[in-house]
Parts: sequence; structure tokens; C-alpha cells
Amino acid sequence: MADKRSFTLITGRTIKQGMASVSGKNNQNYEDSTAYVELNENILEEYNLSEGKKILLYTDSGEVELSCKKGDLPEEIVFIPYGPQANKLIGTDTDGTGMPSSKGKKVMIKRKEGEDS
Amino acid sequence: MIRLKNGIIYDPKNNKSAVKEDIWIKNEKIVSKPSAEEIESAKNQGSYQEIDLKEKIVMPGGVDIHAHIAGPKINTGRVLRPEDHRHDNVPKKGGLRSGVGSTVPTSYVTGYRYSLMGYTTVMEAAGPPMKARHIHEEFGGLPFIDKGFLVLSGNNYFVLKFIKEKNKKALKDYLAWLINVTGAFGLKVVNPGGVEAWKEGKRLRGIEEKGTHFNLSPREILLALAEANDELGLPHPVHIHTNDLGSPGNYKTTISTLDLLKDYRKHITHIQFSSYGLNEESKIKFVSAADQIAEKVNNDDKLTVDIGQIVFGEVTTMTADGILEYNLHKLTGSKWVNTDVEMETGSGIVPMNYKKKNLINGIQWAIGLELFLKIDDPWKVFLTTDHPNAGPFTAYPWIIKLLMSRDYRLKMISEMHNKLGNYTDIAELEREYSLDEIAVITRSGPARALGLANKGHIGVGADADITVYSRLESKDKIAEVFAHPEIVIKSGKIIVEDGKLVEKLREGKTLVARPDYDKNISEIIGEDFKNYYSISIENYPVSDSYFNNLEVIPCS
Amino acid sequence: MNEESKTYQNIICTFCGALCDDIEIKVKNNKIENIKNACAISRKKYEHAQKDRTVPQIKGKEVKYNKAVSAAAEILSSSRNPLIYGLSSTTAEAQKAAVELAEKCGANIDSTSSVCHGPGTLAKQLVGMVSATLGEVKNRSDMMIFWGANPVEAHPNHAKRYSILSQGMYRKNRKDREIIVFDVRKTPTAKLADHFFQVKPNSDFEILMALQMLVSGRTPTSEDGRIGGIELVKLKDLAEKMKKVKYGSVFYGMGLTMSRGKYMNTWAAMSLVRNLNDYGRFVMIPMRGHGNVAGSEITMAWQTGYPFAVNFSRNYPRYNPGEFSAVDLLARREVDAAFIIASDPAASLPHEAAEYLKKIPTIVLDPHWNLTTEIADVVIPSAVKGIGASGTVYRMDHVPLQLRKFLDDSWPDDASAVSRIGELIEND
Repeated sequence: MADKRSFTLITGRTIKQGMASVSGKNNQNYEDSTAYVELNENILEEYNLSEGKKILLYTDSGEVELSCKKGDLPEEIVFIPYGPQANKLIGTDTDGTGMPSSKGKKVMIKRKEGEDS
Repeated sequence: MIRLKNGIIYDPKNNKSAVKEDIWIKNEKIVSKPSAEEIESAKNQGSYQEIDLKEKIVMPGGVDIHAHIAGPKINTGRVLRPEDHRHDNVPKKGGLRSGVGSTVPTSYVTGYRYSLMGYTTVMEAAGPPMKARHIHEEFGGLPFIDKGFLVLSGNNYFVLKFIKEKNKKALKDYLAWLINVTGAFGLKVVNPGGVEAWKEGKRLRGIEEKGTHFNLSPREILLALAEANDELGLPHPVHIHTNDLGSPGNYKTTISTLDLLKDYRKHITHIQFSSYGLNEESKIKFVSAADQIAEKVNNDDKLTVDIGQIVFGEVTTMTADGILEYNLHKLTGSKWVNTDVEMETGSGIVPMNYKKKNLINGIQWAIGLELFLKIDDPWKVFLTTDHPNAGPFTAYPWIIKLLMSRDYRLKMISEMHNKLGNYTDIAELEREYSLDEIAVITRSGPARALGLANKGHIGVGADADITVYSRLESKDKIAEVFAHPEIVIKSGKIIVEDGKLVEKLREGKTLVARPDYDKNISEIIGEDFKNYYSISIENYPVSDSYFNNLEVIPCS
Repeated sequence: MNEESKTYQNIICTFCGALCDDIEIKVKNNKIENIKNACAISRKKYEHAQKDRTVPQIKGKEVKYNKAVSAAAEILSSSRNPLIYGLSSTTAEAQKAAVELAEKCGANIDSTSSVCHGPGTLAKQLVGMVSATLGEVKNRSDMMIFWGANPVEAHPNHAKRYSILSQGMYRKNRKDREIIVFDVRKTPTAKLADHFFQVKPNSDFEILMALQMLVSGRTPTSEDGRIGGIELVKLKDLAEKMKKVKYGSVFYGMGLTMSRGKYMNTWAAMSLVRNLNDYGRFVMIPMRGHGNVAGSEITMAWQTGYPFAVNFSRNYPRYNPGEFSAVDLLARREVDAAFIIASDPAASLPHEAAEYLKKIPTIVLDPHWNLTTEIADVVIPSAVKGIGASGTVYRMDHVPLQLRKFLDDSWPDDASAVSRIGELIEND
């Protein structure tokens, strides 16, 4: 199911991501703590998704496939912990400041073909 | 071994005025003429150097008693002002590091420019104890000159607490401990009580008003600190930035402060900012009170002052007097930094521009010069611009010219506000400084006031810090001569030759005092420290690893 | 060999900009046996400190340490426009050596500050900042506002040591302070607050400007009675409260610096806080992420005059964020070699910028393997800061602390590695 509806991408710190980042970046823990996306419960439902299912997220800068989690978030926000996965969606335009738009970027989501609900 | 011959020596401390005499340098010191055998042996070892100074002016290396050159305030000033640096780039050259200059130059450039001006010792004017480590980090990258710092103590929690408790022993022990653990040289007092009041959202006027947490008046704080400073026998008297600094009418506060401390040694810094009269009838309400202040200075033998002379152009004001910078921000609308430092002090930064045509700025300029010219004894008054507050230190040669040439003063006045004469008598003052007097106010006097027995003179046993200026052919050339000495020797090594820096970095010394104290003091402050600081007392002292080249100046 | 165990008190954790200095560590046989007072992240950091350690490596093959250092020097001296990047998790001594190295190589030098609180520093250059040390806030602050900052997850002991739950002189405990959180999502920090204001993403600037207007007695217009998702009446109440507190404080995070407006958001916050000093006292402190990222700006500034994004191609420092900042230099493919010091750009920079590191010779100096060591041509190991290496670090409020090593490490520290590379280039 494709959808033109856009969301706002917020990347950020989580305690698990912080703990994993100092416990070996090549460990499974680091990947687990950075390779997921949190969505509002209603959105999960709307897209016929459940926790652990993969979705495709894409922005004007890139795309990434991540598994879903339920998050205490407004419907328009999707949250991904800082890390290499989130950074696949972040562009390099810094508006002349040196800082990329790591929060508040427009992102689309797409349910992966063939994923069972 | 270096022999400097045919120099014309100005060494006021040793009563030498334009005396032609040899100077001998061995290692880092000035020595009496070595024996023929010693000279021969040095020649054989290739370590003998003879320089013919051809009747040029020789003075001890310059000593700056008060400038902001290292640490959190000046560095935040650097970050705050990219616009200050961009027109003043200093490329790397040989072994010399690059940097930027202007009013808040980088650390290396600060060292270069003092050296190029013949200054070899500079006192950083105000360091928050908790951030002392930062000052020493920068000192490690501040080449050539010797330096030390004065530690802020006039709004310190423990200082106020022990004064309130009338516990003189604890106060002295604490201050001595503070100087030791921060690697400081002396005590600085800024707007005593007033900075704590600012943090509490209050405002104190004068020195009598009580009002902060400990309910002390500035009077009580000043008196206790001046007494403790003398009893500790610190090399330098208590170094005071007065209450009400910068406000019209503040000369009364300054005079009360001087009356209060008449029995103690004290140094009042950038006193220009504390010599303002108030004239309710005039539109600008602002008038010079230099006469009243100069009279007090002339009659007090335990007092020295430095001026903080206004220089027209860009400055970056910075002080531990937090509320003063708030006031300057409100006055100018300029960008404003404030940093309150827990338990200890405050601080602020505001860029400004002193304008020649602005009447108030003109009066401030005149007050500084009036004080220079009305204080009779040059041993009591020293040249500073409170760099970078009233102007950059690089302006000293032009201030020297103003002091040595009435014509130059009149020329400046002719370019200033035409009503200036209603507020100051600067145009009528005829005094012109002699070279001897310049030598006093730029090196011998400040060295004596700092208690640096080996500086500010070129007698035997002094540090071999020497500046050689070109002959003064005409008064027009005063500024050029003082801006570009031909030779500067620091600790026995030539650092400026033909007016250019040698292309090799050298590190000067860090000057510290190490007064004795009862070690029990860290126990006494331990509980409050643990509760109210945000770091542990174990992580507070600056360890010796920060000092590469330390000189302990003895207490008396 | 079996030694007696030894306990070290008041050890400084270098993970985040809060630099907690009350960690207690028990050591036996050069190994950490027990850790006290550490937060969950810090504990992991200490537990992991001696694991996953790098070895000197050139193109994936282990080599002698000196060989890796020489290879680094060769790369940098043959590069026409290198980038030195990272710096925020190393000591001030290493930062100082890195600036000197950058000057020697005519390099660009930038810290992770440019993708962190750099925009806040740009704002400070416009308007200044009214700030304080953390103890001042602990002792005095009766209103604490966390704006786009989530210390519960990023600076876990901040609340206990310095802010929400701390025990200060005039503010004894949680009850003596009002806690307010502005964020786009209800973070764990928001759950500790008295009032949570949910910000519509990318609306921080509007809200801050509205608060500025309200503080000065003007009321912004809004058709739906909301500004940036927040009811205007609530903002009005808050503005009145802000004017009445004795010593307010704002801790701001990436929520301001990374979202639309970037430095202008922080500019608006700094202006608001500045104006509030006309009523009571108000201060703000950036919630600095990495342990010594504040030090990277400080050390760069005293040597170059500028806090980050500096270029030395003309033999003197030039400053231009957006031009000499890492993301821009990498995205525009302007640099031809990179020296990464104590940072992991492959994980932390936008993918496209990080990918370019694969195309140019890249050197990494780091005690631990990370995603960037995977793609590096040269890996130089180093002693772990604050554990096997001493040095100076600066807290988020610019309070400097000295790290004391308590374990022996197999490798030299960052400062000596960087200095050594500089010497090799100089003697070349």
C-alpha cells in the first residue's frame, strides 16, 4: 500500500541507544537499538502494521527499511534513534550552518510488499 | 653571556636616567661584569654575544598590571566576535603559530603583540577560581611573556561566610588555600557584594548598603579582604574594582573605599571608570571627578592605581561585574554574554565602540588623562587600558604619546566634541611625561606594586627582561618608537630582533604566590563544598601538571 | 600476579557533557571490578572500556603502531585539502595538538559541535547568551525549562546532580522548582515535568517569538488561538510566570538546533532569556552531548579565534560554518583525506556525507572499533580517556576538569598520537 501522506521525522537519543553506543558499535545491540522506527498506535493500525513488522521510509535524501514499534507520539511524528539507519534519511543540506536537518524532516512511509499484517 | 654596550639606560628603580652603561646577561639574569676569565671562557665556548646598542633607549621589559589575556572571559569574547578577527589575520611563520588579532586576539597573537611592544610580564586581571584550570591551559599557549592571574574573591561564598562569622583565621586560611589550589598570584575583588546581589536579582549602591544572603555591606567585605591580604603578606596588595564602577557620581564610592582602607595596602584598578562626577544641572549629568580622586591618590602612600585609559574605537568589554555588563547591554543594545559562576563570581561581556565625537566617551578619555597628569608621583599610577575593556593593549604607545606631548593631546581634542571643555580641564594641563616617568608607569611601578622584585629594573640580579627602543628623534615619533622596539630580551634570550619576532616559540613563566595555610581549612569548607558546588573538592585544585615553568613569588 | 584491589573516588565520567565527577571505581589487576554512582550509560561505558579495543591497522591488516602513525602522516602530508574531524570525545590536550596539526597541513578542522550545538554558538555570536554554571542553577533556579532536550535519556544523572531533583542551597528539592518541558513528543523528561508543552514540529521559533512578545506585554495574533500547536492562553500564563521567578533556567537541546530555523531557534531562545533579565534573573545552558565537545570549541577558540569550522589553507585560520564544516565539505567532495579523532561519523553524519569517507583516504584515531574504523584506511588505537589516559575536559557549562587515569593502557593517548603525526610531517 503506497501512500502520499507525509510524516515528520524526528531523530534523537534513547537510553538504549546511548548504552549500546558505548558497548561496541559492531554489536547486535547497537543495531537493535538504532534500527527501528516508532509510530503512533493509530498509524500502525491504519497501515495495518504490528510491532516488529518492516516498513519502508523515504525522504528526498534516501530510504531505509526498519521494523516498527509503537511510540508515545503524535500521529504526524515518526521517531528513529540516532544512528546509521536514521542518517540514511537525512540530507546533507545544512542551510549554510554546518547542521543538517536531523529533526523535522518530511518523510513518507510505505508498507513493505509481502509483509503480513 | 650577552654584553649590551652603549645603551642609554632608563632604570628608575636604580636611579639611572639616561645613563650609558654596559649590561651583562648570564642565563636568565642580569649580572655584574664577569671576570676576564669568565668572558674568555664564554668566548671560547661560542656563547658570548656582544651587541652595540648605539645609544638607543634601554628600559626594563614592560609590565602590565591588569589585562584580560587568558581564561573563560576573554575566550568567550573570542567566540562571540568573529567580526572582530576577520580583518586581522596572523599567518604562521617559521615556528610561530598562526592566529587572529584585534580586540580579543588569540592566545599566541597576544603573546606576540606584547613581545613586539617590549612587554615581558602581564597579569591576567580576573579569574574565576572554578575555571582556573582553563586559564593555565591558555597560559601554556601564551608565548614569551611571564604571566600570572588574580583570583576573584569579593563575592565568594566562603569569603562572605567567614566574614559574616567574623572568623578571621578561617578567612585567611581559605584565601591562602584558594590561591594555592588555583595557581593564582593575588586576590582580585570586583564589586564586592554587588555581584552576589546581581545573582540574587538585587542591586547594591555604595559601600554601606547590606542586602545579600549573608547580609554584609561592601564595606565589611573590603575591610576584611584588605586586612587578610596584608596579613598573608601576599606580594601584591588587594586588587580592587570598586563598587558602582561606571556610574556617574561614583567617585564618592571610590573615595569612601579609599578612606575605609587608608591603613591597608591596596591597588585600585582602571580607576578612570571609578572617577565619574555627577552634575544634575548638565544635560548629560556626567562630569570629571579626576581632581577629587587625584587628590586622594596624592595623599595616600599605601595606594597604587592603574588607569584603564579609554582608546577610541572597537573594544570588547568584559568583567566579573555581571550587573555592569547588563547595564552596558541596556545602554548600547549590543550582544551580551553573562556567566554566573556558582559560589564564586559572575561575569559579562558586551562589545562597544568608543567614539571620538561622542561627548561622554570624550569625557571618559579626558578623565583617564587628567588622572595621569594630576597624580604627582608616577610610582602610584600605571598605564593600562584594562584590555580589552577601554581599549586594546596595542594602543599603549599612543597613550604614551598623549602623556609625553601636549601638542598631540590638543590635536586630539580639536577632533573631539566641541563642548568637551565644559566638562574637563584636560586642554589646560601642561604637564608632559619624561622618559623616566614613562619607564615608571609602564614597568618599574607596576613591577613594584606587584611585588616582583626581579622585574621592572635592570640592576644586578634582575630577570634579564630588557627592551631596546630606537632613539627618540622627535616627539612625532613617540608612538612608533614605543610600538616597535628594536630588540626585546626575555629571560636572557633575544625574542625580538630588528623589530621582528624570532621565529621560534618560547614559553615564559607562570608567576604564582604560595601563602601558607592551615590544611584543616579543606575540612572546614568540605561540607558546604560537597552540598553546594557541582564538582567534588578533590577535582577542584589545579595540579602541577599544568605548570611547565613556574616561579613562586615569596610572601613577606 | 594478584594485587590488592584499589578504590578510586571522584572519577570523572567522560560520556556526556554533564561530566559527573563522583564515580567510584574499584580496580584489581588493572581491571575494573566495581562501579558506583554511574548512570546506566556510564556503567556500560566502563564495563566495555577494555573490550573491542582497536589495534593499529592499515587497509584492514594489523601493523606496528609506529607504522600506522607514519601512514597517517603520509596521507595528511600528501593531501591537498584534508579534513580533521571529531574531537569532542577526546581531551583538550589532543584538541590542541589537532589544531596545530591542522595548521601544519593547511587542513580544515571541525568538531562534532557543528552537527550538535554549533547552531547555538552561531546564535550566541549574534545575540550573546546569559548563562551560568550548573551549580548556580542547582542552588538558585526556581523554574527550569527543558526545551528540545531529553536529559533522562541523554544525560541520565543531570536531573539528580544539577537540575530537577538536585539539592541546592536556596532550592532544596523538587518541590522548590517548577519544571517545564517543551518538546515535540512526550519524552521521559516530559513525564517528570509540572507542565509539558507539546510543540508542533518545526514551530519552536514561532513559540519563542510569541513568548518574547507576551513577556513584553504584546499579544500575538492567531486564528485558532494556538501558536505552534500550543494554546495561546497557556503561553500567556507561562510568560507571566517567567517574569515572576527569581532565577529561571533554560536547558536546550537538539530540538532547537536541528529543526527548521536551526540557529535562529536558538537566537530566539537566547533573546527571550536575555529579555527576561529585565524582570528577575534567567539563564540558559546548552545540553552538550559529548563529554568534551565544549572543550573542542574552547580549545579551537583560544588558538584560532573561532569555535569550529576552521580552514587553514591560507596559513591563518578562516571560519565559515556551511563552508568549512564537515558535512558540507564531505557532501561537496571538497576534501581529499580525512583524519577522524575520537568520533564515529559513519554512524553520526548523514549517510551521503559519511559515504564519501570511503572514497578518500581516511584515518581513524579511536580506542574502540566503530562503524568508521570499518571503512578506514588507517586505524590508530589509543588509550581510553579518563580510564587509561589523563587530560583536561570541559563540562557543558565550561567548567574544566582534569581526568586522572587509573588503569594502564597498551597504547599512547590521543594527544601523543596527534603530536607524533605532526612531528613526522614537520620533519618530512
